Amino acid sequence: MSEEKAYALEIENLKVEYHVDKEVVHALNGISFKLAKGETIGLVGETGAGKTTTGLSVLRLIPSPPGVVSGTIKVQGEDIGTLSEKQMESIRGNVVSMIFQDPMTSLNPTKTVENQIAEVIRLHEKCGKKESVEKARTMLEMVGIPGDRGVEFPHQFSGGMKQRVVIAMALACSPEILIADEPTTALDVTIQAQVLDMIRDLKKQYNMSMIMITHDLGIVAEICDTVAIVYAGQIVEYGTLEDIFNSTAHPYTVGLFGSLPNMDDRTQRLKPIPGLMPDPTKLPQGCTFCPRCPHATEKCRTERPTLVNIGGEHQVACHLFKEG
Amino acid sequence: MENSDFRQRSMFAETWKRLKKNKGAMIGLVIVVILFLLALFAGVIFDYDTDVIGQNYNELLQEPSWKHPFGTDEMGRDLLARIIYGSRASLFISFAAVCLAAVVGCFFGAISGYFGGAVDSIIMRVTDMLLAIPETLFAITLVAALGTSTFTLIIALAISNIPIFCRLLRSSVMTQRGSEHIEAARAIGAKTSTIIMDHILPNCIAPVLVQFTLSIAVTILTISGLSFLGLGVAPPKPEWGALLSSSRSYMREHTYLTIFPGLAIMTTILSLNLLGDGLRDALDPRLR
Repeated sequence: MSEEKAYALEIENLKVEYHVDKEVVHALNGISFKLAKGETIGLVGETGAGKTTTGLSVLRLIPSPPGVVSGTIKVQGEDIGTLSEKQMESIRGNVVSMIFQDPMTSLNPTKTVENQIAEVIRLHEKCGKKESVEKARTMLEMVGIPGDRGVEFPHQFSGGMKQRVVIAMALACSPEILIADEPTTALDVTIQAQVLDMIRDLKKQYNMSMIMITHDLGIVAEICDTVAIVYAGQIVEYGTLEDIFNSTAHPYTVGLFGSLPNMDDRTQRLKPIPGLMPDPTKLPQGCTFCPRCPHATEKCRTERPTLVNIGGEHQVACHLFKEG
Repeated sequence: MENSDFRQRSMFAETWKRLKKNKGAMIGLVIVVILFLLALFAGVIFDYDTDVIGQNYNELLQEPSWKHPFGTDEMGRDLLARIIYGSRASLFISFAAVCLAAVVGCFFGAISGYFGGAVDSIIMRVTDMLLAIPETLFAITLVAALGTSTFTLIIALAISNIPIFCRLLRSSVMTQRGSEHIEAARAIGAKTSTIIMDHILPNCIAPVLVQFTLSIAVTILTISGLSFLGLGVAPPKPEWGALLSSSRSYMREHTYLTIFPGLAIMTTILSLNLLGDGLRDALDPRLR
């Protein structure tokens, strides 16, 4: 690996706050990561940890007001904070595109499927209606749906097929970065595997970078190169797939693995993490995880830990670990 | 390939195909078309000067017969001729007024619902103001101020119908705006205008269509009321509401004078409602 790595996406100290009724909701509290070209990063965390917010920030789709975004996001070296809305529109769907969580509701019920895909193509490439519909059908074939079903409406498709349509739409303009926001959560297990396989193949085919947003560690193990564990709007552990799975460091990550059923020892009880994520309007002064942490010390309550390197690219934000 | 080309049809053709399957809607459509044709070619069937406004004192208040299928009124004028000519005023004014109201109301409603905030507040307060004034009263005031003419009537009726469409569309747009497919449309880089026109409005069309047919019905009645007060269509020009109100004094002995204009209004409104419901179903792909 060369020193000059081409980054598709660089996020630096990203903070998102929502100002609602005199309260400030701290949705993201300084997230930084870099995504190399062709690589996949997994954002893992509980509901409300800020995973989707991170994804939406990259598309600059955080509703503002009430949202206040700070920090820099560079897409292929270009700071999107400085772009006009028009320039942003040409990036959305073209350079960065997103697969939404729920395929049931993310398609327009009044338009045929091929027209919805053709719309993306027409928005970003100079081509006529006929040509774009032709291309839309090719995209449908690519995700395993017969092209002539394109004239049908979303309600005539099953959940799995709708998700394929959404994926076809996201990939129609061969984006550089694909944000997959829990793409398989709404699907059953057999379809999940198919869709994941497909995403992985297509990703290889187009040499895309991908942000995989999920709470399923199984999916992470399947397709991610690096993993960021997100807790209360912060990355608490970051590292390669091996770092996270084999030398789990942060107590929260340990807790996540403890919450998975163990197939080898079925008599073993699940060890859920006690408590809930802190209220994002009243984050604790110290470590955000400390109220639920079994190893919490006095220092944890008063001082918020920052990410420290604990070998290679493995970083942890926890007072239990020292640099080196 | 031929098969797939065959299935690739325009939205209009799709809607038409589905509308054809709906018997009620087709009956409504046929009646509406007949009414429009009658209004359009009234001059071919009857002579305005002799049949419609020409008074004939030899044939006062005659019962329906072959010569006068709907009978004659207190001036000896043929009622059928007057009803058919009357449809010109009733249909034209109500359609023009409601179309204008729907376009303007939907425009502001969509803006209000989509952008929210201060824009929304301003538009909504104005509609509240308009809603607070009764339709007939408002029309009376405007017609009194600007003088009796078809144009003033259309404007007055349009303005009093705007707030209904505005509110209706605002609420539909607000529910649509938060839905995921709109967020998805934004994520593929669609412009705001495209999002409103292509993604939000088609999903809001159903209630507007229903309201459209209802508004036409109410407007026909309001025109009648205004004609009765002498502010709508001036006599001797026929108009359905005016026919109805002038027949009041003869209602006991000459019932047909009331029944036929009433039937005309009822048929129009019923067929419009049937057509409106059918269109709503045909435009909604989920109900196919």
